[in-house]
Amino acid sequence: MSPLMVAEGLTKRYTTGVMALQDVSLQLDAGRYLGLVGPNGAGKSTLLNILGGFLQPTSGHVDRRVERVGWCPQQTVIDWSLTVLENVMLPARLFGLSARAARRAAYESLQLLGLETSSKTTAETLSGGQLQRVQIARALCTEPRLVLLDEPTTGLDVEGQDALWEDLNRRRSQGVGGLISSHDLDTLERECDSFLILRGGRMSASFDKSDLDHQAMEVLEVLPMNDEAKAAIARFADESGRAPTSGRAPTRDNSLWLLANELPPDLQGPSFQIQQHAMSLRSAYKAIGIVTRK
Amino acid sequence: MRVLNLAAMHLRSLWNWRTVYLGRLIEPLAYLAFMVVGLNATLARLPYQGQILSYGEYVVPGIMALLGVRAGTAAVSDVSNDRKWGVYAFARLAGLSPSSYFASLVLAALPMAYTQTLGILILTLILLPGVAVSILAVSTLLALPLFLTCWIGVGALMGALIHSYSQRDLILSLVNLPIILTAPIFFSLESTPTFLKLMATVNPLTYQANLLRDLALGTPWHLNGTVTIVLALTLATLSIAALARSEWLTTER
Repeated sequence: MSPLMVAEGLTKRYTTGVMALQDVSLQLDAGRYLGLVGPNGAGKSTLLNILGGFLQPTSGHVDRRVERVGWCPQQTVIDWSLTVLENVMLPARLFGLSARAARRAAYESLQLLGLETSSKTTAETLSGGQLQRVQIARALCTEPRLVLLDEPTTGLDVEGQDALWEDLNRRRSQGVGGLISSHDLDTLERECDSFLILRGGRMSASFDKSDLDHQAMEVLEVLPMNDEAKAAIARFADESGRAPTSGRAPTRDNSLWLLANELPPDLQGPSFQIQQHAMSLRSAYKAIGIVTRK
Repeated sequence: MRVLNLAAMHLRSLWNWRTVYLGRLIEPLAYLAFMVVGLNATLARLPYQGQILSYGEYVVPGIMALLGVRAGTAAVSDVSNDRKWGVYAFARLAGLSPSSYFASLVLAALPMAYTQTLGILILTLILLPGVAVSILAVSTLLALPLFLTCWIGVGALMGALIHSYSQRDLILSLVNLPIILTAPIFFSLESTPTFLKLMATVNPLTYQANLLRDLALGTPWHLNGTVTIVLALTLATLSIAALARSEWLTTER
């Protein structure tokens, strides 16, 4: 596999003092998609923007080895003075595609995303979901070797999502690779080749799809049976820097997800019910829960 | 080639918002058709480099030079929007250098500036018959890229360094009028107070207007020409350096 991009030791501290990213390294290979997951504020968009060159890291470096990159940000980045078609064609033209080739690619991308009838209108007339489609079409229109897509399916209907993944799979078979962030863990697990879990700006885990297929990790859910057990879970969560149910509102009464080899003795016994879960991206995401305090 | 593609995109943007830019297009023509023609009929002749000129002969080159200032003002918002709306980011992602981006701004500004020049020349022929337009036309054709480079340099510098709409608006309000009013566009410096002469000395527009007058009248142009070239190169270099150091994408809304 030839690397399309190699990033090493990326750290980003904003001028506000917030440490958005700490020592993140990754490699993006041809014909493979890396799924990026993490809670809101984990640093996913910061990482994608740094990889695209849109943000400068405080330290670390990015080695981009291909020219054409398809970038779809999470936030709306649209030239409001251009039509939809012109917005989609813009990066393609800047990457050197002829006007005819860029127009053809733009129409194909817009058609894929159901926007062909809006091509002549200005972007300001579009809804939020349609703007997101324009951004995806723009990313694909460059005929990229590398894609950096930040939550591309947000705002897309089911047909739009299916069409997008079908197109991305076709491109992957032609050697396109990249990084795709999403909260849709089930789709990412189905479509991506490897995964990176980001929490608190740090790489919490990085594993291959084959690890999921071969159940390389055993995932447990520890449920408290009484108040004493709840307190023990809370104490462990606090000491280990992880939060029950990923630090969000508990869905199963303060249960704690963790890898089997991490289960401490004081969370075992009759006060706890231990449930074993099949390893999936979702269960791994819940179990691999190192929360680094900023 | 990709610089031309970017310049073409700037022009498309200009065309799509043509109703917004119409005022900018016709402003110098309105100055000429109403103010200059009126004053030409009212005022005595003005001295320049030992020659006595009609008001029209004196002012028309100044209005040509003014086109650069207006392009510079537009460049402030153009660069800010390009950095906010991703155009600059996509240009850099595609491998275009800050200097290529800057060149695209100048290239995109030329068609409007030349269209305005043509309009001014036609109006001058019709309304100010004593003014010789042929040499002025050639001089403007050659000098306008330098004027645009200078003022778009100023505009791009501001667009690269200032990240707040209110700050930009404030600075533009404070700077724009003094630049236009302290240069000898509508009046001769020879009879003005010392403070105005001093302000005109540090105003690039003074040298640009006088360069066109020199070329049109055949008076020595080397001082004004040298200052104009040096200022254009300096401001282009400064703005390119500022663009190179700036983030590709701003979060300004």
